[in-house]
Amino acid sequence: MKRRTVGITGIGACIPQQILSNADLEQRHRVSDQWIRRRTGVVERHVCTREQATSDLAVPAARQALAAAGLQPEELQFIITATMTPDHLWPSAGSTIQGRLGAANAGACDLNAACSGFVYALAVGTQLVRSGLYDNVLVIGADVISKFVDWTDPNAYLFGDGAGAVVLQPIADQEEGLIDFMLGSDGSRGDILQLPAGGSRRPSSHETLDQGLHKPVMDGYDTFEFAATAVMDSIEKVLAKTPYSIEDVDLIVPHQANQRLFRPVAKWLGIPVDKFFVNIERYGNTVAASVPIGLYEAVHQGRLKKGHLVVLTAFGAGLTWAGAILRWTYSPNEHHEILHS
Amino acid sequence: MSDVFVRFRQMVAAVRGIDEDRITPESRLVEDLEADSIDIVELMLDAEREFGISIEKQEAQSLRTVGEIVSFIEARLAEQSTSS
Amino acid sequence: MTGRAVGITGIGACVPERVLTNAELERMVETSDEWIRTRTGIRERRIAAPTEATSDLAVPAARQALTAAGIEPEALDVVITATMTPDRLWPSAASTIQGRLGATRAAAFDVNAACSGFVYALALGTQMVGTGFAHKVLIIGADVVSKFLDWTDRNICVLFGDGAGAVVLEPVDEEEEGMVSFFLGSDGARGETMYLPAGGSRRPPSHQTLDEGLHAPLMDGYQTFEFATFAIMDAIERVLKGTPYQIEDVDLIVPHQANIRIIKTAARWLNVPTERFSITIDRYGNTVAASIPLCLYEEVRAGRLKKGDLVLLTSFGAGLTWAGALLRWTYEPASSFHLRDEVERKGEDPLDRQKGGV
Repeated sequence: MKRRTVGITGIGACIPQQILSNADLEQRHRVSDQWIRRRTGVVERHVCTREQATSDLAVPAARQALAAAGLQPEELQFIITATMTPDHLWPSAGSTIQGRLGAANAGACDLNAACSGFVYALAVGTQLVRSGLYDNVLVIGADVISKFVDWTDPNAYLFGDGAGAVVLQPIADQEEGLIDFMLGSDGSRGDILQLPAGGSRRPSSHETLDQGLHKPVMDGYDTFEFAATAVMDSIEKVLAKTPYSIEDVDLIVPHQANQRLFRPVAKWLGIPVDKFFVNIERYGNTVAASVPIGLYEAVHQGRLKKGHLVVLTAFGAGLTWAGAILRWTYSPNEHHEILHS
Repeated sequence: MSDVFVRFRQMVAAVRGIDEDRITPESRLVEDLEADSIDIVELMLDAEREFGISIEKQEAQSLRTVGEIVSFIEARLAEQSTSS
Repeated sequence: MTGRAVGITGIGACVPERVLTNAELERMVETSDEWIRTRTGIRERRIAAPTEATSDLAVPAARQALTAAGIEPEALDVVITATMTPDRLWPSAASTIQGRLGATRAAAFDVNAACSGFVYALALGTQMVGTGFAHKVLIIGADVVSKFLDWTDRNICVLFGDGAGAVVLEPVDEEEEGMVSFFLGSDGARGETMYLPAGGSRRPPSHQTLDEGLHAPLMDGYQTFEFATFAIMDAIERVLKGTPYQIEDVDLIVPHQANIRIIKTAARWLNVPTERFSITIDRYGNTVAASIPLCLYEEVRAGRLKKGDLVLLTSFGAGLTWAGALLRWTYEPASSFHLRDEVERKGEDPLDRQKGGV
């Protein structure tokens, strides 16, 4: 049975132009820059304007990824958008993006696994190419969580908006590409990270708004404990599926949930903390976008080069967590700053 | 000083980035050592790994001083050695 | 497709107990039983109770599918839930379902391709098993669209119902064939044909969006009908292309149940008798992502769908999306196992926090 080798052949990322800094928050709310930095490591985040939504960030990121891969939109066969904040409940953000890209020959759907969504979508997209069903697949991670947070709630200071996209294609076997994945879920602990209202359990109403059920619930202690365990579990399990050990890994690109996570995890793994790529200080936690934005920056800062062994790790609401191990297969022709929309 | 105290003091010093001399059994994690809730989770996860025990959130949140945590860990270790 | 053969090895379904008949709707909005029946083919639909959400219907359907396949929840590798009406925006319905099933080893995620969601999820799940990445995958199609309807909008509220269906995917012997081919399409440029204006990141919920009535679906009936008939024909043509089969070889066509007239039009254009189409719209209305697995379930129960039959699934919906699948049916109910009618439902929110967090 022949299974194809699949690699990332293009990448793009986009964040909103509008910056919300800790200093801005200091002026508007009773919170200090120092407190936010110490708790989270976030210094500033980019947030959408009133008019912008998830597809507005995803489309430029997708166009950039297609250009990097040298693909025309019409050549795409499938688009998976990992998001928990789609423009609408229906149609999917994926379809809206497909239409705006002019990807006339592509199927499109959304995938929701919260902050683990991009790594989940990468795993699914890889199987679509590996099986031979498709040759050109676009995987997007995009979220605009700023529309669902209450800036008077300290939980909000963690978050920011963004989008990232990668193109998956068959590659030569010796390039390795996307080697393996681990995907986990523990719905029995789903209560610790959730948006109580707005779905079929509690549809939006004046009452649910008055009761404050439209802002994210996040239990800090439980979330941090889960995150630390999830990072360890995903890295250990995904490595165990391969001949590689942690020493072989050149770079770990984690979901950017909290700066504080990386030191303990590096300690437990017995690796230097700078093996983790961290950019949370500028973007905050961008949910499903954080891993592809991390990859984008790592590539364009020269920290991630063709041939490097990379581990991705993500975790979030569900609870879900996920890991990926890949040999990096893309080098940019020129340096690009991250796009602003 | 017990072995558990010595090992736990090292962890606290590393997590908080302070000298071990500042840490006594009477030191309160939050008030004296300025640990926040994330430091406390990290310390509990450290202790779980180091000593091979498990500490529930409620238990962790009920312990205030370094000495109380050390006693808790010692009691857990004693339970484990008698039950196995 | 390369990779190993993948087939459906178990099926389950669940609908709410509450039946809403056309006669009752006559008393709620300016409509008539005759108008609804002749325009849509719907006689009655099931509507979730106030406490019931999507996972409450999905869990019993999933349990039944697992029993039918003879596998324990712990054996599952992946749970995929196709839905556009998840319990919450996060966590996903799939994670909630995974937790309630006790599928402790399984990954879980939602797929949203609206009414095409089940066929999309079936295609994704098939590739995951086909490449060897996963071995046992649960595919659920579940929607409770009743929570999002404006019960004074007579053109729309009469069309929908709630429900859930689930199938188990596993590797099967090559000679059993299982999944033969898929087609997945999207035309986002025509997304306004049917959509829910508010509640997402474009227009997050606010008192204003509620006052403006932006939390109920909009639908252009003419364009929808035009798209649906095109989509059925196109999906059928594309899934058959490249396979050794023709429409005459297909034993059963299972179309998304949106409107009986769409199905009859397609039957006429294809020159296939309507008897070879699965039709459940009279009893359930349009159940979104649940409609195809509900049909499959009903056909197995009625003895009209048997192991070895060649089946063609075709769906269309918001997105716009449309999709098709061609498969050799690989499930046979054990003589000791009877597909049941009654279902266990809880209707309590597993994520409600003990200590008043919510």
